[in-house]
Amino acid sequence: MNRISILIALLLVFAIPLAVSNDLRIDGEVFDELAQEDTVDVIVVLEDDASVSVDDTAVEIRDSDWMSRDDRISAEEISITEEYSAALNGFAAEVTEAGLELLEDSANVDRIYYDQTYTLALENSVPQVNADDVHGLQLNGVDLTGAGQTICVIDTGINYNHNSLGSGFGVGYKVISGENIYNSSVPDPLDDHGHGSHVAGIAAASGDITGIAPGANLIAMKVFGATRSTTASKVLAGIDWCVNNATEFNISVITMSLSLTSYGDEVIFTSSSTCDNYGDGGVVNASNNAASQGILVSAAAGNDGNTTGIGSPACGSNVTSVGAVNNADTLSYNRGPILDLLAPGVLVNSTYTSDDYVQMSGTSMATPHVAGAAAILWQIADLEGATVTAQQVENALKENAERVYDASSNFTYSRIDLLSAANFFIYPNLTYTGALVDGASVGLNTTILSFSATDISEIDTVWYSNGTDDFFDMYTNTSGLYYVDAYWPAGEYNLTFYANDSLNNVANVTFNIVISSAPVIGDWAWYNSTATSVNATTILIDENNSLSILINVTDSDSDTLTYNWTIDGVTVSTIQDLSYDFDVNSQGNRALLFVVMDEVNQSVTQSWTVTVGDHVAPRWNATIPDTDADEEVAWEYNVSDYVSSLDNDTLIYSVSSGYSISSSGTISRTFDCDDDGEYTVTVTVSDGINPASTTFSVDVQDTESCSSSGDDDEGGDFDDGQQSGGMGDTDDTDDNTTTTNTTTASDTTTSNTSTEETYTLTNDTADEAEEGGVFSRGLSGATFSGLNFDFGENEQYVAPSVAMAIAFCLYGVYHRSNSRKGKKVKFEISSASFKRYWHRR
Amino acid sequence: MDRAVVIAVVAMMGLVFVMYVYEPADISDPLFCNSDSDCVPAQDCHPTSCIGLGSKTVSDGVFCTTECAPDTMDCGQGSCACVSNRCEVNWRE
Repeated sequence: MNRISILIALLLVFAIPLAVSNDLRIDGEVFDELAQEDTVDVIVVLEDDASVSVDDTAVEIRDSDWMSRDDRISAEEISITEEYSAALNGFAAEVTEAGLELLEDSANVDRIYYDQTYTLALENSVPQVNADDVHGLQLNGVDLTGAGQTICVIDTGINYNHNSLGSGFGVGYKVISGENIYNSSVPDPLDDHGHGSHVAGIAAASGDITGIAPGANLIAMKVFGATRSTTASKVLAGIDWCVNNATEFNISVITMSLSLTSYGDEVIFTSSSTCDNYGDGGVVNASNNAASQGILVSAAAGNDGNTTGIGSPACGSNVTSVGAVNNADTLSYNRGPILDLLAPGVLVNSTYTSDDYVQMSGTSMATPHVAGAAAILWQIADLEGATVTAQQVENALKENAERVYDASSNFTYSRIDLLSAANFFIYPNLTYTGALVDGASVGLNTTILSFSATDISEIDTVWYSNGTDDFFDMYTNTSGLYYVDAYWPAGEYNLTFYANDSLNNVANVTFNIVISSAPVIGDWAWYNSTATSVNATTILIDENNSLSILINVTDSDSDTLTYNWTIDGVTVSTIQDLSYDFDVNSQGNRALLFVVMDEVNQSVTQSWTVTVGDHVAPRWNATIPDTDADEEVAWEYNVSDYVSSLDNDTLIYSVSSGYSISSSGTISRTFDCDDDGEYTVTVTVSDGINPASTTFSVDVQDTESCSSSGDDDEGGDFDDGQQSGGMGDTDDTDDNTTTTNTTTASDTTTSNTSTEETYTLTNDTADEAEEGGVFSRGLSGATFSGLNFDFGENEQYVAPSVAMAIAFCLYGVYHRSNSRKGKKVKFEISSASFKRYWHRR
Repeated sequence: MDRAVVIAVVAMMGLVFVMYVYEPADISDPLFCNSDSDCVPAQDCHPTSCIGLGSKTVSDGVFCTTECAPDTMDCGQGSCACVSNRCEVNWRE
């Protein structure tokens, strides 16, 4: 191998590691800052075997390999600020662009970081309550940090020299004033313990750490010494100072991370009213009074772990009590139904006595979170020119919060969410007040879409858009609600409602609705047994008849429709087409109504008048039996039992002339002495529309009083039976015809008439006429007024019948001979059939 | 020596011995107690020890800061108990 080959090999051996060491990673921010500035702060991580040395003129970076070259960078290009050896091998430095290039070229440099600026933002608790999000907001061009507000910290004083607490005391610093009430001989309210500084940092630190309201000022009310115990009088003096100086320093919040004890234990209250009246030296009353004067007073709930009550003065009715949660929103310490708010209170990092930070726990730490949040809400109210009360501030925090359920107290609490509460104060509160849900299908009217719009200042305008570029104002009335002033055609609408306040902070709410079209009733046709009609609204039909209506209904939304048919308000059908039977009791005018309803309760109706005629005539459903009457004796005969009306009509009776008939169907008449004989009575019944008639016979008997008074009638004139019209037929002719039981009706007539086959026994002398009456009585109960034999084709019965008749006659003669001696009776039997029979025999 | 005298001397010596070895509770001790309820925190705020209730000076109406201070009985870190007639802190691990 010649000398040239050896040289090349050596070059390769050295070149490979050089190439590897150039694989250097540098944060992009380093170059970004160098593009803006002459120098950049970096953190340089060296290779494990490298080291750095500094002298007045340069920085030298070398490794343990004696063969490698040292990297020497002029002091003009690099300035080391920190050196590290344990956590990492490297240093922090401020370098120029040229210095950075030399570091890049160094084989001993492993990594160059951009020196990030870290801000400790109460690492967990500030973002937990979304306060950091609020700090990025502006209102009217002002950052929302609590600027202009002052928080009075009644505690162990404040380490106002801390760089996160303003590094000074008095107007112009963060801690603008204060007083040492605990030891008035030492006016300086400087914190000699750390508790008050920790509380103050949580509320308003601004520096290496950021509190909840970093722009707020602080007042150091030192009422505790290093023992962290004090008396009511000193706490009262602190509250009094804050209230007295509220206007001068714009004190809007008092925070008290303290609690009343008795013999070393916290005094716990379960109700505000009990607390207000408790003898605590007046601290609760003073706190309530401060709150009523427009200062939110936040106080610690205490740490005893009680699940039903909290300490004092947190329990005061106007005091905003604060309990604690950890970073997972799990409750610790005291709680109960009168606890107002929760905030982070476990292992919270904040400012302390020297220029350092410590973690502390307890409701002491939760309380200033609420104080800082209140300061920002007061700032928003001031920027909006709104006048709000401490209670409104508390309510905003309480109602716009994270809800946290606690099983041990079985209660749900509000853990503050400052972003939510701030937005509630910034923007108008636009709330839909109707009953519809978003996306509902409705039949629109103007009162459906109503909103309430409120703001801590004033509402300027409320308007809406209906999914287009057009905007429409809403109108309001004395109710304070805002309404849509329009009817819209059917369709789907994506609505956005807006409201703005005097600073033109605009709130909007989207609301989607579907305006449903109503059903439409088209043509209809009705039918019954005798008629058909289209689109007529008056229907004529007889009872006991069926009515059908076919009706056309459409709905452009294709909603499911419901139907309801009513007659005189009573539902008779729930399907579209009607088929209804009017029964026998339906006569009269009926109101027929059809209602059709869609899925959103939009309905349309159609009505008819149905005149139902009386259809069922009354009928005589039994033959009225013939009856007797006596002369000169009032005769009555009720016929109502023989008539019926299926449809329960009121029946109207009428009867042949000469008779009277009552409304209940009783026929009456008093026959005269010469009226004896048989009469046919025709009685008619009607339901007012349809009449029905029938007849029956009444046989008027001669009475003894009429006989003795010289009654000149023919008495016993049995052949006088055909006396139509009812008055007795007084002639003595033999009619040989008797009509009985003839029923006529409008639809039915029944007639039983006999002529040739009727046999009549007659007594044909004047005496015999008299004897006839005696004869009748002599038959003793048989009460024959005449004997009519109608044999028809049954002639074989004639002989026995005649024989029986003769036997009856002889029996009568026998009796008569016993009672009236010497009298003779003549019987005449006349009948062609009898004679024919007699001759044949 | 009379037997009875011997017995009496032995009995006396026994009594003296018992009196010598038995140390009765000192009820004047500020830590004396018969039950847990006799014991209260010795300090009004952020207590670190316990004391008998009768020995505690009146300390009603005192206000304390509400942090959980380390090595105190704050926030349930400890409680007072009566152990062998003396008030002690029952520290929770």
